Amino acid sequence: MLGLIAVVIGLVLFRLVLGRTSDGTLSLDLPSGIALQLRSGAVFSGALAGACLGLAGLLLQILLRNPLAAPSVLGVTSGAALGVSAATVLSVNAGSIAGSSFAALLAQLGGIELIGAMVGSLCSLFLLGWMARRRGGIDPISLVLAGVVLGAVFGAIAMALQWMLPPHSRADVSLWMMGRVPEWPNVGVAIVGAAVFSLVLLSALRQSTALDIASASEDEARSLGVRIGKLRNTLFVGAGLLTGSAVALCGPIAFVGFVAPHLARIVVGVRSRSLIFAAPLCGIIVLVGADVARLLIPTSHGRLPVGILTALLGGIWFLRFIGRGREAWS
Amino acid sequence: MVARTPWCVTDATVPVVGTLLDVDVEALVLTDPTVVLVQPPVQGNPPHLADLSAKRGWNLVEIRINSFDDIGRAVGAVADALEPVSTGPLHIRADECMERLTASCAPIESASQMGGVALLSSVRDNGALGFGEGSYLAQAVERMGCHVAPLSGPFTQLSLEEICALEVSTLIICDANPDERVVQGPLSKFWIVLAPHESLLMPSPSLVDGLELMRRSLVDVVQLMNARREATP
Repeated sequence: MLGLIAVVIGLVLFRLVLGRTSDGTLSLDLPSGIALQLRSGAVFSGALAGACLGLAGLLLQILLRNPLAAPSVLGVTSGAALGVSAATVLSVNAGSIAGSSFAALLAQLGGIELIGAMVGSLCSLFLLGWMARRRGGIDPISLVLAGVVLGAVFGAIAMALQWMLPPHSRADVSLWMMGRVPEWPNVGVAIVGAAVFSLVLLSALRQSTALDIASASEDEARSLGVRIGKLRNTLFVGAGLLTGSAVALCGPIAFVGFVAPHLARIVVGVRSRSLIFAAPLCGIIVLVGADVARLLIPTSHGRLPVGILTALLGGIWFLRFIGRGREAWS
Repeated sequence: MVARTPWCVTDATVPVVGTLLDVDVEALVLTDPTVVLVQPPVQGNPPHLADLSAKRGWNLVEIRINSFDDIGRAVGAVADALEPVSTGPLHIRADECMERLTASCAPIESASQMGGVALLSSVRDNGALGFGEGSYLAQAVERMGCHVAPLSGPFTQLSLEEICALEVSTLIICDANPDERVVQGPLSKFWIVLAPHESLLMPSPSLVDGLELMRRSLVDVVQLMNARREATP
């Protein structure tokens, strides 16, 4: 655990001293003034979104007893992105709908994205649970299949909504869909995200013993007095709110919620109490690390969107995981 | 005009026949055009479009709108394609367009003392798209006598830190909905010119209107800068 904390501190410090000018030149300097504020903003955004996704992925993997479960794999991230796309269409057309002044005010405060992302992620989790339910329990294969289908359907609806936007807004939303790390994050979204993360972290810690038991089998958990339904519902809502916060802040970033819990297991083992601290730290390492990596990659069009790097890393890890697990599953 | 792409906003009642990468051939044939204007993509025109044009006797005219000079050439090419006589009303109209376009980019007095300009679009909390050397907008602003900030390419995604590090005094923001928090936050040290994005980001009949508006705003900035300079002891 101390090693993880040391890596996080090292990465954060490296990101703070790493700069790049508009002509693509890299520099290592001690920033001051506005540069320090902007780099701190980027570090804070990446760290908060990474921690939220790491914890959300861990809770989903434990509660569903499925190592492939993660917000992006199960379509929860796509659901949140659909919510934000719908909110964007609403705010662009705010002048022509009822309650326009309220919608415009929410849009200005960044609240419309936050509400859209939260509602989208919670609805997708509810739909997912409903679709994967078999004989009172959740079938792991149905769950992953339902997640893939939901992700595709939500993605198609989000694209249809984007198509309805004027060309200049359409390009904006397309870029947002690639994931980003804001250097000047919306304070309201950041405060809500930090509050959601703290609440879910405390709630998960209080129930860490129940989580250990729940990760064995449903019958075993019931026989030991764990109310598995209540636990699952509470932490599912928590995972949905965490994903919504991360998407509202950084856009739909794939695979951080998948990779972080696996990295955490390698480092601290399988006990839930340790994992609840380690998975968010690993999420921070993946997302802030990806932000650092994109600064180091030279392109003539500016920096790569961070979502491209996390998807590449996570995709390779996912394939490797499936390759290793195939024999065990069969 | 009997057909258009979805990006053409001149007349919404004209039917859309797809985009150049995804031509709706059936719809295009139904509109029965005499001239087809195309802006070829990097990979070239779709071969079936050339075949179809040859079979049906359409005049396939290729125009490119990468640089500022390309816009002038495109206006001339459209007039040539639609009117065989070079002294006809369309050519006269094209000449008038070119005169207005040239006038809209006339040099601004004392513009060189502005200390550099950066052209941006899509200003958000993680940066903006910058227009550098090679884009028609940067070339238009350079014709006005301003020094445009050098970027690594004609269209470069810049972070807010990279924008703040640019050695310019003024930001021209062509954006329908720039993030106000960012404009009033880290970018507040610059002079800001909000330019009409609808007419500037896509070459259209209203481009000249957009350039004229932008030029007027830049003249105001130059005058304000001079007034501040004179007031400073």
